[in-house]
Amino acid sequence: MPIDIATFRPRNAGDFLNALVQVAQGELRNRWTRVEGDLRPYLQALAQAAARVRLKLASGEYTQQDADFALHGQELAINQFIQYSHLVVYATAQSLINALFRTVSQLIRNSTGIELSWLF
Amino acid sequence: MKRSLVLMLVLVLGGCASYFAPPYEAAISDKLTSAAAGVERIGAAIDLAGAAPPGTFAKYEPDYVAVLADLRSARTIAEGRAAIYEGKPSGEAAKIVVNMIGNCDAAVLLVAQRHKTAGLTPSLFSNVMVRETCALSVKSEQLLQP
Repeated sequence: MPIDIATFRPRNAGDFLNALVQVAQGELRNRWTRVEGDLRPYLQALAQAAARVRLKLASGEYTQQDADFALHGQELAINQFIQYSHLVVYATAQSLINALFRTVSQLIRNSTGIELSWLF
Repeated sequence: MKRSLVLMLVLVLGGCASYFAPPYEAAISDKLTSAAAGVERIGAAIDLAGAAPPGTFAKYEPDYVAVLADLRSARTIAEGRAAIYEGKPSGEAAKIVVNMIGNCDAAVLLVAQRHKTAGLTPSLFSNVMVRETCALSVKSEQLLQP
């Protein structure tokens, strides 16, 4: 059964750990859903555009110059994807720290009454 | 004892508010959204016209200029932020956002140059992926939103 962080009062380190693991799992799942929603259509578009350029070049609809132009743009799009993937790692680490710190503050408040939320 | 423990936690974790990623900047997001909308507008106009021979560049030039101006203001703010966090992982993340704005800028310049010299077709505009490249830089800033 999931722990209700808003009211949960940990009695020992094990309780703390269970609550933090639950929050971390939820945070990572949310992030992944969001990132996958961004990246899947992007990669699909990239794959289709790359295939189209090759077909059009083969059929003579595109000149060599047209294909060079399109491929140069696709190169930038691939670089953009790589940069975004790196950024995902940093953003996920940060959101994880934020979520865990929020949880620690909340659990401390639940058991001691000391308010730490002014930090945010 | 309990209070000193709490104080220690505050000191350790309080410094982490932007350790891995810089804070989200609404001004960057707004400028990038506006630039991406400008790219869509140019693409839609070329789609409607069916073709954009070099002679039509003058008509589109203000749109290209507006997009590049938005991108450059976004980049200036993003570079300032990267300088503030330099040396920390969040500085690296801030630099990635700058690079991604640069990729969109390069793609728009590539398209504008081609439009000016040899013209564009709807198919070339979509295969050069400039829409996607610029849309992903908007998403990069939004990734930093808490």
